[in-house]
Amino acid sequence: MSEPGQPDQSTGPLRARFFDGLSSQPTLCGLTLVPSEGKNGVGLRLDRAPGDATAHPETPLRAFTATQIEWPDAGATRIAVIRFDDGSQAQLDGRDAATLAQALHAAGYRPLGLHALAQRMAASWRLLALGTAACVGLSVLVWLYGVPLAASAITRALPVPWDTQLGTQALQTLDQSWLKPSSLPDERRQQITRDFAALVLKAWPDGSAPTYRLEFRAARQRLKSPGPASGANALALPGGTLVLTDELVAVAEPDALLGVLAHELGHIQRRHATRMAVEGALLGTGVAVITGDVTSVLATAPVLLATLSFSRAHELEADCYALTTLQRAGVSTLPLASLLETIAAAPAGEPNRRSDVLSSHPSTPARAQLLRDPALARHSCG
Amino acid sequence: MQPATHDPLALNDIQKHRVSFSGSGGDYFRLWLSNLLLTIVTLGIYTPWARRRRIQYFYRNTLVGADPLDFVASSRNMATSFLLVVGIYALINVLSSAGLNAAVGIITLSIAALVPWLWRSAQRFRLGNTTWRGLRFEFQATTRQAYTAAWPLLAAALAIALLSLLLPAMGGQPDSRVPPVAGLLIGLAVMIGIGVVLIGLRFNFLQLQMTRTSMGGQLGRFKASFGSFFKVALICLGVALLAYGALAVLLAGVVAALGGLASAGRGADLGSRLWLFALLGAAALPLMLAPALITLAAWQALVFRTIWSNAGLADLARSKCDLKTSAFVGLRAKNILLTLVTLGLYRPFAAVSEYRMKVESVRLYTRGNIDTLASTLARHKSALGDAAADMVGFDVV
Repeated sequence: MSEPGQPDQSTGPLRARFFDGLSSQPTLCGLTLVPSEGKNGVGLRLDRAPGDATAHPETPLRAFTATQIEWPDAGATRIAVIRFDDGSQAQLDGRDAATLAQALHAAGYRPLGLHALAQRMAASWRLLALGTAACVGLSVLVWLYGVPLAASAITRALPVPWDTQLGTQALQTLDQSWLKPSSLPDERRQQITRDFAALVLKAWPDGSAPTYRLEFRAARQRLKSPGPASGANALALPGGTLVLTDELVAVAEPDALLGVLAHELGHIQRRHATRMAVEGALLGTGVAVITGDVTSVLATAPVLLATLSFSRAHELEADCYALTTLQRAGVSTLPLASLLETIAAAPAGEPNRRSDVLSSHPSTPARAQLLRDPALARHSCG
Repeated sequence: MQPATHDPLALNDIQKHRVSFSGSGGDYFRLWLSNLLLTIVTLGIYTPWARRRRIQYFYRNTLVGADPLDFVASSRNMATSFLLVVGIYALINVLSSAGLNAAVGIITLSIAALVPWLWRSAQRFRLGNTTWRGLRFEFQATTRQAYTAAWPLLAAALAIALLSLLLPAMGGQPDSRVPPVAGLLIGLAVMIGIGVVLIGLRFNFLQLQMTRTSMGGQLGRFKASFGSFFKVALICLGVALLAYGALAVLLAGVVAALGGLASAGRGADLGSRLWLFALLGAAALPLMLAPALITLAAWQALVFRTIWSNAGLADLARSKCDLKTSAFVGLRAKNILLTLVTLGLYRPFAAVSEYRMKVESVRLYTRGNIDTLASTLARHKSALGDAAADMVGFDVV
C-alpha cells in the first residue's frame, strides 16, 4: 500500500483543490507524485496547503496508489480533474494542469491499451491522419477479402431451408416490383421445362445437380426500354428458384435458352444468391455499427435482396458450370455465346442495360470468347 | 419572491455566475474522429468507451461558476448497459427474422410498457454519474412517480385499445359512410390529440426530472407551468405553418417560372424539358425537409430556454436563460448546410457550436457567493449505498 516515497523534487508540489465527495467545499492542497507499485507506478500524496490553520506537516491529507487514481484525459480542458476511487477528486487549474501532465510523463506514467491510443490520436493531428489512413486501408481490405471469405464460411454453415425461405421472400418482392405473370402459352412453358429437365438429367445422370424450380414471369413495362432484348432476363434466387422472363424466351433460340438456364443453375449449385445476401447483411451490419444506426440493418436487407447481382467471380463459376453441363449433355455452347454477343452489341446508353439478362457484367465479350474457345475455358475454369 | 425569514444580509447579496464552455471544435473533432476510428477497428466494441469519452469531453469543459461538471460512470458500467441494449436489439432481430412476429410484438409491447421505468433508470444513471465539485447529482423520483408522470401515454394507449375493440362492434365499414369533410375533421382531431398527449408527456417527465433531482441534499425546483410549455408548442406550430407556407409560395413561383420557360422554348424537344423538371425535382427534395428542420430547431431552443429560465436549487440558486430562438435556428441551418457539404466531417464542429450557444446562454444566480452555496451542499453518507446500487442502469438517453 501507499508508503509515500521520496517526493519528486524536480516538480515540487502542485497547487490543487481537493473535494472529498461529501461536500462541495474544497480543501486547498499540494500534490506530490510518489512512486507506487504496479506497471504505471505513479501514486499521489496530498498535503494541506501551507498557511492552512489545520495543517500538520507530518501527516498527509490523503495518499493514493496508482490503482486508486484516474488521471485526467489528455484532452485539453481548462481545469484538470484527478479522480480517486473513494469518490473524492482533486482539481488543478490552467498552468498547473499542464505541469501535472509533464510531471506525470517524467515520472514514467503512460496510459495503457486502447485508451492510450485514443488519447494520443486525439492529441495529435499527425497521428490522427495516420490512424485514418490505416483504418481506411483496413476497411478496404476487409471489404474486398474479409467479407467474401466470411460470407462463404457462413453460407456453408447455413441450413438449406433458410435459402428456400429467402428465395420465397425475394420472389414476392420481385413480383411486387419488377415482374408480372407470364403470358407464354402453357405448351411452350412445359416444353422448356421438359427440355431443361432432360438436359440436366443427361449432363448429371448421377443426380448431383441441385434441385430447382422453374418459374415463368414477364417484365413489367417500366423495366423496359427500346431495344430488341429489353426485359430479357433470367434470375437465380436462393433456394433453387429459376426465373425466366417471356422477353428472354422471345429473343433466345432454344439451345441458348438452355445455356442461360444452365448458367443460372450454376449460381444455385454454388449458392451464390445466399452468399450475396450474407455478404450484404455483413456489410450492412458493419455500416450500421459504424454509423450507430441500428435501424438501417432492417432497411438494407430487403433492398439487397431485391437488387441481387453477382460478382464477376460468381459469373465465371456459373459460366463454367453451364459449359460443363452443356458439353456433358452434348448441346452446343455457341448459341449461348452469340446470345451474349447480341446483348453486348445492344445500343449503349440504354438505361436498363444493367438489369438485362447476363449483361450486368463488364466483360461480356470475354465471356462469349470463353464459351467459344475450349482451351481458354479449360484454363479459366481450372 | 423569497420569504423574509432568511438572513437579511444574504438577501441583498445575489451573485451572478456565467456558465461557459471551454472546449473547441478542433479539439472535439480529433476526439470524435479517434472515437470513430477505434469503433470501426474494434467492430463496435469500443462504443461504450467512446460514449464515455464524448460525454466527459462536454462535461469537463462545461464550467459552472469556475468549476467543471464531470461524468464519472465507470467504463464497466457503460459497457454493461451497452451490452444490455445490444442484447435486447439482437433478440428482437433474431426473433423477427425467425418469423416469430408474435414474440416480437410481445417484446415491443413490454418495452413500451417499460418506458417510464427505463426512463427513470436512464436518468438515475446519467444524473447519478454527473458531478460538480465532487458532489453527485441524485435523481430521486420513484418508479411510481415515473408511471404517474406517464399518464397521458397510458391513457392514450388505453383509448386506442378501447376504440379498436368498439369500432368493429359498431358494425360495417365506417369509411364508406363517413363523408370526406368529417373524415378530415376526425383526422385533425386525432392529430391534435396526439400532439397534446406528447406535449403533456414531455412536460410531465421534465417536471419530474427538474423537481426530483437533488444535489448535496437540496432538491431542484421548476416553476414553469404546463400552460407556458403549451404556448411553446403553439409557437412552434406557428413556425411550422409559416415555414411550410413560405416553401409553398417558393415552389409555386418556381413552377410558374418554369411554365413560362417551357412555353417560351416550345421548339425544344420534350426529352430535355423533362430532364430539366427532374433535375429541379431532385434539388427541391432537400428543400422539402427545411420547414421540419427549422421547426425542430425552434422547438429545441424554446424548450431549452423554458427549462433554464425556470430552474433552481432549493432557494439557494436560480437560473436564467436568454437563448435567442432565431440565432439558434440560424446556427442549426448553417450547421446542416456545412455538414452536408463536408459529407459529415463538420458534425463535431456543429455539435460544439450548438452546445456552446445553449450552455453559454444560461446564467446562475446564487444567494451569496458560490462558496457560500458550496458550504450548504453536503450529502449524507447513507445515500452513497443507494446510489451505488443503481449504478448499472440503462444509459439510453
